[in-house]
Parts: sequence; C-alpha cells; structure tokens
Amino acid sequence: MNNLKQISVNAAVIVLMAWLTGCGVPSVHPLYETEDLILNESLTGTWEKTAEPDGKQTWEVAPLAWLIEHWSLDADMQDDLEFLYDLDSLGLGNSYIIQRTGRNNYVYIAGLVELGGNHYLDFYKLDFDSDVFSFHVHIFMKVLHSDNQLVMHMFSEEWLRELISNRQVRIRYEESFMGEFLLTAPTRDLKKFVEKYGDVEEAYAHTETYRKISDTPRFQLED
Amino acid sequence: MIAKQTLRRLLEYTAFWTFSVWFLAQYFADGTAINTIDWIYTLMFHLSIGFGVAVNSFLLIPRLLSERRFLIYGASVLVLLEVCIRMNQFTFNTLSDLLFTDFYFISYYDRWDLLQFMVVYIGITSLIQFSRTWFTETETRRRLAEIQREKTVTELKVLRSQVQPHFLFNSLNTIYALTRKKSPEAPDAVLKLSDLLRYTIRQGDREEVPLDEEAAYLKSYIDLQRMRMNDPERVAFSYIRGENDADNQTETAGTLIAPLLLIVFVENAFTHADLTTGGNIRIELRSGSDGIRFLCSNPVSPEPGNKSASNGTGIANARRRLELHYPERHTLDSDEKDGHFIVNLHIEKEQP
Repeated sequence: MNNLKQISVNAAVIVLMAWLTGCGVPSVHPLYETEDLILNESLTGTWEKTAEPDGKQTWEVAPLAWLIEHWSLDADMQDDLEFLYDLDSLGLGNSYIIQRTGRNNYVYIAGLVELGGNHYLDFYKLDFDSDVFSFHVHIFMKVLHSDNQLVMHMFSEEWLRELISNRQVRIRYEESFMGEFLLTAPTRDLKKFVEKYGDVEEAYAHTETYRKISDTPRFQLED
Repeated sequence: MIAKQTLRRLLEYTAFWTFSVWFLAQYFADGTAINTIDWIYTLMFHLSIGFGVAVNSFLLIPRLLSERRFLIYGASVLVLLEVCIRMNQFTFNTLSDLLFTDFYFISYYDRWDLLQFMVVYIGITSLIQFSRTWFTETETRRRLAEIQREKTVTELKVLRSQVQPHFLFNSLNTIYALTRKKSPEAPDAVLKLSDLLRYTIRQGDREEVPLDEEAAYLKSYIDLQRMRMNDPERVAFSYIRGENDADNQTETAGTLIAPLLLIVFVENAFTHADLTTGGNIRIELRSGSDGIRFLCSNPVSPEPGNKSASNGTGIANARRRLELHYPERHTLDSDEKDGHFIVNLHIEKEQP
C-alpha cells in the first residue's frame, strides 16, 4: 500500500462530514473542466491557519507537477509517483495536491479556477479506505490569496438550501431521508451559478484565514 | 369578416404559444412539479424564441423568402439565430436579475443547445406557415378555377340577357323612333347600345375592371332603359367616387371590381320593377375608404308571389359570384320594405 493511501484517515461519510462541519456545499461534480484549471505559484508552500482554538492546523500545498518533479528522485516514492502520473493522465496536471494536518489529517486534489473575476478551489478528498457507504464529493471555496495570506470563504449550505426550499433557484440536487444535501448539477451549471452569484455576500457561511510559513511544502507521509 | 379572420389568427397564435409554454415548462421541470420559478423561467425563455419566430414569420419570409431571395434569406436567418442566442443569454445573465430580484437564474444552456432550440422553433413555425400558405394557395387555385368557370357562364348569361330579343328589339325600336323623329338622341342611343355590347364582350376576359368603367357601363344600360320609358325621371342613378374629399377621390380612383357583377342587380330592378305603384328606381354606387357600397331599390307590386322568386334567383347567382370573388369581405342584404325591393351590397377594401 502506498504512502498516500496510508495518509488517508478513517473518514466518515464525506457528505455527512460536510454537513456536520459546515465546510460548504457538497457536489457530485467538480467546479471545473480539466482545461479550466490554472496554477498560481504563490499558492505553493505551507500555510498555517490563524486563530485556531483547537491547535495548529497547516496546509501543505503543491502542484501535481511539482510533486512529480520532486518525488521522481526519491526511490521510496515510486508507488505514489505512479498514482500522480495516473492523475496527470486524467487531465489533472494543473491541479494541486493539498495535505491538511492538525486535528485531522487529509489529502485532497484541489483545482484552482477563475470564474467571474474570483478564484475558487475545488477540494476532492483522497480517501482510499472508504467503503461503499462513502461517496466522494467536491467542496468549493472562494479564495483570496496574496503572497503570504490565503483567505477561504466557505459556501453556505443553509443559504442554498433556503433558496431551493423557497423555489428561488433552479439547480439539480438530491436530499437524503436524513436531510443530507447533495448538489447533482453538472459542472456547466455549477460554473455558471458560481460565476454569476459568486459575489453575493449571503452565499458564504464563514471564512478561514491562513498565513504562509514556508514556500516549500513538506508532506508528512506515513510509512 | 376581417375581424373574424384576425380573431381566428389570434386564437391560433394563442393556442400555439400556450402549448409551447406548457410543453417547455414540463421539459425544464425535468419530471418534477412545475413551480413558479419554472413558469417564470419558461416565459423568459420564450422572449428570444418569440422574437426569432416573429422576425422570421412576419419579416424574413414575406420580404425575402416569398420574393425568392434565398441567399439573403439564408444569411438573414443565420444572423437572426445569433441574435436570438445572445438575447437568450442576456435574458438570464442580466434581464432576469432586473425583473425578478428574488430569483437566481442562470443561462443553463450553451450556444449549441440554444441554437438547437431556435432552429427547432423557427423551423416548426416556418413549416406551419408554409403549410398554411399551401392550403391557401390550393384554395385560391380552386376558387380561381371556379371563378373562371362561373365567369364564362355569367358572360354567356349576361350576353344573352343583354342581347335578348325583347331588350334588343325594344332598343332598336327606340332608336328607330328617335331616328324617324331625327332626334339628336339617336346617335347617342346607338353608341350606348354599341358600348354595352362591346363592354360585355371585352371585359369578359378580365378578372377585375376599374369601378369607373363598370359605372359607365351601368349608366349606358340605364340610359338606354330610360329612353324606352315614358317617364325617365323615375329612374335615379348616382355614382360617387370618394367622400367629397380630394385625397379620397385620388385614393379610390384605382378601385377595381369584378366585371358585370352589378348589372345583375340593375337588370333585376328594371325587369321586376312595378312602376304602377308610384315608386321609383333608385341606384347608387359609391367608392370610399371602406370599399364599394352599392344600393339598388325598385318598387314592387304589393301582391305577394309576383316578384320575389324572380328577384331571388338573380340575387342568388350574384351572391355566389360575390363569395367566389370576395370571400369573407363582403356583405349582401336584400329585403322588401315599404313596397320596394332593396339590395344593399358592401365590398370591403382589400387589406394590404
């Protein structure tokens, strides 16, 4: 089993997690087509969450190509390298690999896109130990980044849920008997919706701010 | 008649677009219940579709396609499709936010999808228009054939009635008497009889003739009839063009009418008039901005069963000709009132 797979923690159902933690609106489809993906060099590095009451939380952020370049020289990383090549062959060459460490330890494929003048990160968790009860979803966030600061605005599920229940928006979704909410709209509709209403203040639930502590990410891979 | 046609067309449009809105609302709702937002979305979607269909149906087809300017028509349709696509995108990217601030719309369809919507709608409505034109043309051809046949029969009838021995002998006797008296009216009477026969023969080949010529023909007939009467003052004929207005007179100068149509009523009036009752024959012809109006009144015997049957046959023939020549744009009333048989005809001006 390769290291990336070992990094993955015992995750609960991602939909339920998203719902419980309020990280955003889960979606079956990503916010990007592979040709939409862009790279921004300033994102590469280690970011630390500011004002974190539950202890330090960091994000290691690196483009897929950066990881391929650095890991290709490391004999221990050949299994992971093969996995990265697989991602590259899927057209995700311009995506990022992000490792979150701290209270929880996750690895994501993240796609950066620009829509309507704003930048958005689409997170897709790599969770190799999930079972048939887990369904991988995408979570989007609006990001404002400078060289040393990264601000993430989480979409408000409540806002979208209210629009849907009041029949104010036409967008495909599903809701489980437990009230779990999942967007099923195709990428095309998601992009158009976010592009048009990305500046609506009510669309965001809360904000997290990170500061850069290193330009070189250090992925902590388990043996 | 025109109002009825307009009403029927309005009903057709309403039915088509109502069905269209219902159908697309079902399609957009994607199997779920149709909510207010779906109706609003569907109606707004129809703005661009309706614009494209209207421009194609009321501008491009009549102005270009029917004039056989195929290349320009094709290019215009391509431009129209592009305009419709952009209009649809503008509707949901901008207009929807201005009109419905509580709703969050996006333009769900890309250019290719929208192009397909527009092509389907413009194509279907064009086909409907073509089929309607085809039916109209078929009906017109059928009517023209019947008109032609009817006209031939009418020509023969009119010719026979005009040269019937009774009329011809009376006219010749009148002319003979005038020449014996060396009356100055004699040459005029010969000319009028000659004009009548010539007009009957020559105008038979034409679909329509100027109303002025038809009026002159009626006048010649009436004048000849007057010459045979002891009291010609009991016949009044008037032809008024326009409504005493210089512009109207100019406008109505080119008014056309089916040839030998009105003579039937005039001939009936003279044939069945009972001048012993003291009544007069009154014939009025008027052309105006609303079309042609014709009135023909003759006194009838108060005894029942003396005249109505004869008058009725002539008018039935004329009514048939009117239906062929002026479908849905004429009214013909005939009635007996105060000892007079009165015919009232109104032929509405053809709408451009």
